[in-house]
Amino acid sequence: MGTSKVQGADALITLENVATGYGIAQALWDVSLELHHGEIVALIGSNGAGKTTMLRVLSGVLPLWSGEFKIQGQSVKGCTTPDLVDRGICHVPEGRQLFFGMSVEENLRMGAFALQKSSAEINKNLAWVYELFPEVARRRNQLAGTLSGGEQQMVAIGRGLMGEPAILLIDELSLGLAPVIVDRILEALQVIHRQRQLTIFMVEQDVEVALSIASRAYILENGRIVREGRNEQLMNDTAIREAYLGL
Amino acid sequence: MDWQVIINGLLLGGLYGLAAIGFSLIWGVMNIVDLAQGAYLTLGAYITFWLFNLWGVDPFLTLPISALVLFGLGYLIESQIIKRVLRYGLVMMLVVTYGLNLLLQNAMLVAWSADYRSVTPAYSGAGLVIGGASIPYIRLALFIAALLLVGLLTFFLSRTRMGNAIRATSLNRLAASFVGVRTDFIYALTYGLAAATVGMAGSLISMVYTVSPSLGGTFMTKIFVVTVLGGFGSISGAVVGGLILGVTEALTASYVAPGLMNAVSFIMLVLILIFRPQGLFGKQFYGVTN
Repeated sequence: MGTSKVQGADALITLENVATGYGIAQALWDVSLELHHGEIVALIGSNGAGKTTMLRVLSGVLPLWSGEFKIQGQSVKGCTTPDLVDRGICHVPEGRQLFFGMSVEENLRMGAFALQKSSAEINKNLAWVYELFPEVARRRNQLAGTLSGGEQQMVAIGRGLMGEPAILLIDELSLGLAPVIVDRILEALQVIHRQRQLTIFMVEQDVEVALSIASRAYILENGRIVREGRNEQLMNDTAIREAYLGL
Repeated sequence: MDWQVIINGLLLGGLYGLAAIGFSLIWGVMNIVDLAQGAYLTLGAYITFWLFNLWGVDPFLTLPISALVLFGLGYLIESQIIKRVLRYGLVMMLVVTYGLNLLLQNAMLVAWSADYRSVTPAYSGAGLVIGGASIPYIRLALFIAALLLVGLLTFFLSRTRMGNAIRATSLNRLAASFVGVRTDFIYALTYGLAAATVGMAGSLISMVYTVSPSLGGTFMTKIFVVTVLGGFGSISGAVVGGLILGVTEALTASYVAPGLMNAVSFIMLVLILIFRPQGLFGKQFYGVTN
């Protein structure tokens, strides 16, 4: 316990013994987690394991029933989603959740809504996002709802980046996308990670996708974290290989 | 075709359009059918009447006062009442806004009686004649004022930070909170803005209609028709819907029978709902648009 407290002090995000759920249905039990500055960490689990629920806790959509949630050692229990956005958390939700009736560029600019920055700085970020995703730049004046799934995912990540977050929470990046598009987006994420030392926490059903860029992973089963470790450790674990990689 | 009838219809239609915008905005952003809009319209009309009657304030100059008072009232009602019942769904919201409407309407009845009152500034009789059709100055001024206010609101929604936040919230409330928009505040802001808009419409309407506590009820039915015509959540749609309704009413009144005006409007409403439920300006993506 003593050591985990020392670790907790320099962790960017800490969850300690968190429980939560929907109405009376509990979805997470005794979940503890630490994310450090500049890490890419994956959260792996099957359907209904509670992965999205965990992201909802981290982005303030779902309140904690018990336990503790800290950012840089400071408790943020009870903070609303916009409060957490101000503290550098950005949730790129499952299903992209773009503003379909707005243009691509309007979507990206909305990403900078909470930033107190000059328009020159915002334009600089916009140019950076377009550089990361040139296929999106070509469609900047198109309504976001008319884009393909992959392009929408790029806009969703780009919108997140426009807010200059400290940590990006990405939910089911690969869902419904062709493998070649997934690779393209993972590549961009690595570039983003290199250039901005962003912490990335990604939720994935596709373990291969998750472990291809993450350095660490947590495994969630039935609302509890059952394993955690560095990815080479997990990859070599027979039980995990059988359960998640089908090897 | 008698141009006079068309012109009368268009001039009136501009006011209908302005009156319907608040209703359309609230529906587009908050998914609420706000039956209290009629009461806000009446209140706006009374504000103009009393300022004009007691202190001789020019009716056009009462617009900002109507807007401020109704914005404040709307903001308060949303943040204190509507916010608390929002999660109980559409039917509950109908009950609550209907109740609010009754409450406000009866409060006005108690305070100011059911007397019919009118606002008649000195310039209300004059007009100009173009090609045989006469256009009263005041009707023209009302029309222009209505369009200016619509333009102002459109500018606000499409060009300002808060306007963009309102549109974003209307399109996807959850995503809006993920980019840091405080959507509770946006709801209260939208509701206040809608009340202010319909209140200003009431102020303008007071110059050509008699003012009584039941004024808003009459307009509520028109607001419904206009919003369905133009498409929920569409501002330009509300304006065009207003113009169409105004012209339809004028044509019905002079060529069919004045008593059938509402009947024709509602037949139009039903036909639109059957054949083009998304309104004349159907949209691909739901939310507030210009």
